[in-house]
Amino acid sequence: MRPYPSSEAFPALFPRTMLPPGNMDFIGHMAFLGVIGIVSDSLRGTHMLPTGSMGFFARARDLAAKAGRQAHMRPNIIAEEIFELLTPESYLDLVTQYGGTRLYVPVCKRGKNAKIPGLDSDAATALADAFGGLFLQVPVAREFRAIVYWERGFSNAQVAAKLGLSESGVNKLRARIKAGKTSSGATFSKAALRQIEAAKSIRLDPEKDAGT
Amino acid sequence: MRDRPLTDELLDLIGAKAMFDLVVSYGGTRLYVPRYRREATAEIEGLGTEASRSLAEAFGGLLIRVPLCREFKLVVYEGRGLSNAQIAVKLGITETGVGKIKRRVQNGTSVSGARLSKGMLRLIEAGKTVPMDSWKVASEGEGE
Repeated sequence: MRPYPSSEAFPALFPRTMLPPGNMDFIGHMAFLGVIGIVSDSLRGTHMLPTGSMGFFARARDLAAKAGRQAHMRPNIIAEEIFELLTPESYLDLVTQYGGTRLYVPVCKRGKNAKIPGLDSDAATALADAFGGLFLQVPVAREFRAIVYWERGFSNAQVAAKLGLSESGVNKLRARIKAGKTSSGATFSKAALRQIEAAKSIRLDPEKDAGT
Repeated sequence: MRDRPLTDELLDLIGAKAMFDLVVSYGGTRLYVPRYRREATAEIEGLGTEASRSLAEAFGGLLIRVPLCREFKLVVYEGRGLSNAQIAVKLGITETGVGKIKRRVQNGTSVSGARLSKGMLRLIEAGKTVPMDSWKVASEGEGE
């Protein structure tokens, strides 16, 4: 069950001042916020609440939009979460087909399987449970894919063609992986290292191999 | 040291359509061009006989670094009606990256901020104007 949105989960949406008194349920909370909103907006322009600040409902909309945007503004964390949710094989399918794009994850009803074209239903359902109704910034995952291809015995030229890079770009990628650095020069996170280990151990269906 | 960028030279030799096939199949890699033989020049896989012969005449026995030409490919895919997301997957970059290349194409600048070469500008023009049906469909599988 999805947790009831609290000030801790969505600090931008529900600042402490907007918290309802006592143990109020969801409908009670909404009614409480509505009353505050109507009262405060009707007082705007009077001596009690001078104009110049944004109205309550406008402010709430603005905060909600910001909170929504923040989900897309942390692609690194999202990428790690996606990897943890899926098997390495499903992750490879995802980044091969959707890497670099914003993917809409459908909302999935309890007990039903979600469908995302090109992904198996387990992977799609796992994504829908975690991110249903959101747009995901799917990582390009060049390091992960390159390692999978190298492990399969592909040459640098073949890897370059598959990743859309030049051969010297692939050489640089290899050097970076060896040094454990990201493109910005930072050291690989633990999650990134886990991805690399998973890429080395990945076992794939030989029939699928031809297509990826 | 070359006095002209390779893109210009390749475009003059084989034309825009064969250039598209070349960059889709071999973009970013070092390609060995077979030696020119008047009777039977070996064909480069994915290129026509004509283009293979022209390349062999100019570069036979050499390795050439085939340019990635992302700008050119982007213009062709855009003309085919592909979305930014589809282009991103084909080029192996992010959607944001596609937006950046589009802006660069509009401004006529390269990644480093310098002006695009004449060859690249001609390629981009060709990519915009040639009817899309005439571009090889075999290249659809690229980028997967």
